[in-house]
Amino acid sequence: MRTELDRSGAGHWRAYVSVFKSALSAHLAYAAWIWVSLAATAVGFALTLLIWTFVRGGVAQDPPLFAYLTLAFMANFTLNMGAERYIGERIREGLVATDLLKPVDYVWMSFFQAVTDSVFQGVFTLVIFALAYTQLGRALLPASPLALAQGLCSLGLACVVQFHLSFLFTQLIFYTHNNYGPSVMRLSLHQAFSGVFAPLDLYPGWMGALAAWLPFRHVIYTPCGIWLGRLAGDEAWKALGEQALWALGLMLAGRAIFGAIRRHLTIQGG
Amino acid sequence: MSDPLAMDVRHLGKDYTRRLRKPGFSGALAGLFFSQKQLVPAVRDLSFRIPRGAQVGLIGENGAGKSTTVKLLCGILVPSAGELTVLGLQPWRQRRQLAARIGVVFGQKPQLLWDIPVRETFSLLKEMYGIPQAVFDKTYPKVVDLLDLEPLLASPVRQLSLGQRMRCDLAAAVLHAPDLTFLDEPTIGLDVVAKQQARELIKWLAREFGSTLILTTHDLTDITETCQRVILLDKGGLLFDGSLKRFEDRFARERRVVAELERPLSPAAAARLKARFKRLKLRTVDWSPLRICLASDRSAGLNPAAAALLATGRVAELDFERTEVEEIVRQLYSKAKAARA
Repeated sequence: MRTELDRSGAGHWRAYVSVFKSALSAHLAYAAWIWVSLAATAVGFALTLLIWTFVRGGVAQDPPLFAYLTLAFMANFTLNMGAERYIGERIREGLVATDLLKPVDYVWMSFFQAVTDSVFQGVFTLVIFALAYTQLGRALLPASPLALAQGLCSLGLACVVQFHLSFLFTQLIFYTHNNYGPSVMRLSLHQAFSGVFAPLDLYPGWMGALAAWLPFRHVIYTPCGIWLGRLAGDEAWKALGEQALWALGLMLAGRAIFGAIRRHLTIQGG
Repeated sequence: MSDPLAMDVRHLGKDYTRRLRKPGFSGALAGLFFSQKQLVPAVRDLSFRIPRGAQVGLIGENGAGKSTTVKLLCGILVPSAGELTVLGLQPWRQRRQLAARIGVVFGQKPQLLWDIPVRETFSLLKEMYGIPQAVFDKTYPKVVDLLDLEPLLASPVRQLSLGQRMRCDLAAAVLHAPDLTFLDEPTIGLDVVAKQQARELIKWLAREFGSTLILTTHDLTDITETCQRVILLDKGGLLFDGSLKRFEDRFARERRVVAELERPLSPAAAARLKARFKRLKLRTVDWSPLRICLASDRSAGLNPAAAALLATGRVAELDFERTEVEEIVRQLYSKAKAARA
């Protein structure tokens, strides 16, 4: 008769740390891909700055705006997780079956896999920060020690909001069987309403109002706005509170929808 | 006292919806706006019980519902009907608890991480399953040795061949000494030696940990070498459930006598023998110049036939054969197909 083995360690927090480390290791497997991606991103950033330079007549004309654009780029690149691509491909190819065989929470496992992108890209953006500092100086620094603390806290929440937004859109792949549509839809909304290309406080009336009601603002505008003092005092606390509520709401919605989808899940191809 | 049953499946059903599209370009265009839905039953009214420690072969044609059944039993899919408990748990409701206790290989869906060395995947699994060091010290060296993995451990999975990957996948599925192992087409891409290694691993698991095994395969040698029981599925339903011996007794009633001749029989001798075999109610499977094969549902008629063949003085080799499991399954599928037609 078999002796029951101790399984209490399965799915322990160490499991998620290992998922994170393995995903990071996998991320670093293709050196050429990394360097080309970083170069392409740097070019994209340079072009954004160039366009705004034409519009505003140079960095010196509006340092707060360029500081915001730099931080927005950093936040955007840092939080640009490959969740949709990664999860989407696994859903499409039926490999989600093997993910569901693991004794860990599927959503958290996906989160820790995705967050490796943020860590890796976040480190790269520090180089951008250092370069931008030579041009913008103190305009890039947090408005106050409180803004620093609130900004970092907001960045953490932005990570949660961004992942769960991606996760929610990824669920559409169970119906569309292709990640292109859901991916483009989320990206378009993100680009329009997160504040990645311009601070939301510059948006005209209805568009600003709409952006204020959507969760995308909490991915870029809220952390950057708090850090730079565009959102200060009560406004900063209110934004943080809303961001936390969105993070929680999206997390619960993602789980509820995934639970419902699992009931109708079909995995084809043996 | 733990539940003596590894699984209890009652009237299990799983349907999925298929969108039907009319053929051709116009059909594809129309399909953008309208499509009919069809409910396809992948598993129908399936019931069986498997005690702990049993080794069971789950067989069936392509599309018979084997993989869907395994996915239901693992908790990946949610059943449309019926009830099931696996290791005392409801698979889809208690997926994580069950996952900690089962090992699964889907031959067509690798669970190894593509871009990192095999050894790192094993380390990840050790943490993920919280494998106690004492268990890992037992399983890791053994699977590495049995499946000859040492030369592969440092290679990223993407650089491995299909067979090498399968061996690593097998190892990954059993490192945590699962109470129940599902192997769905585990010998895909394996050469003869590797297949034997995989079978040795299965036997070792059962011996060392009393692990229950559900094996799905098209290679029936896997079943005959490792399983005592067979569940045969057809179109999502149960066609047979019983011991391998009962399976053979029930379906392999036919026995054969096969004679290889040194030189052809004379026409007169051949005619005499044919008449004799007709009286013995034997069926002629093969009658060529140098080979005669006769079959009977009753072994009784075969002994006089063998004696008559030997009496010709031209027999180089004589064998009695029993229908192989593979042949039985082929015949059963043909019968089922004919019945459906």
